[in-house]
Amino acid sequence: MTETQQAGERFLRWRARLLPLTAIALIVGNAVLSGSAPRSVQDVLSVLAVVVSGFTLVMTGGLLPGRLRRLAEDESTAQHRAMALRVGYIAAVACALGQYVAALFVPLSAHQALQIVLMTAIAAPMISFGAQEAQALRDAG
Amino acid sequence: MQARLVCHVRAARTARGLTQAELADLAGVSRKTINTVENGVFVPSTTLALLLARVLGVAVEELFALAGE
Repeated sequence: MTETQQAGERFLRWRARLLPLTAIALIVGNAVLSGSAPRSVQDVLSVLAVVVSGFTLVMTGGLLPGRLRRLAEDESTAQHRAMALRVGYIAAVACALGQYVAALFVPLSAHQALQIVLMTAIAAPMISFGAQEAQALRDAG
Repeated sequence: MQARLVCHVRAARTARGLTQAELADLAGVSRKTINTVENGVFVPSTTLALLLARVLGVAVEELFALAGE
């Protein structure tokens, strides 16, 4: 295996492991922060940093140099990404519908509802993409 | 009805004595992509199919066929 291939695989494995952890950090961080008011700028920035880094990892090959990036962004990755975005959309819609029903019985502010849907829409693709990539890498040995 | 694709990439690759990593390197894709193509998990684009055929020195029809043909 060439050095580029090895470096590409290392990045792919690292990304596959990191994404579900990022999603969990995002959900936990958001749950913790949603209970405390008012929020500091630092709190908001830390959540935003997690969102941006997770989004960057899902949507791009990061800041890798040319050949390595093409390797990390090849066709199977693109397919996993498309599926992950579909999962995110379905999860967000399901979450919104669930909240609509739940709001009939439990009081829920518009702010809370929006936050839950957004977190679902962001975290679900991260988990899905990471899981698909990890599975494909495991299968490849 | 969706036609099923039969993939002969593994046979063509092993016939040329290449590993998945070597083929991946020649085609400029990851080993994960080659493995998913070979296992039929992933249907490659026309571009990748043609690229694999070129790298393996065969016609694309020798690598991919519709089931039952």
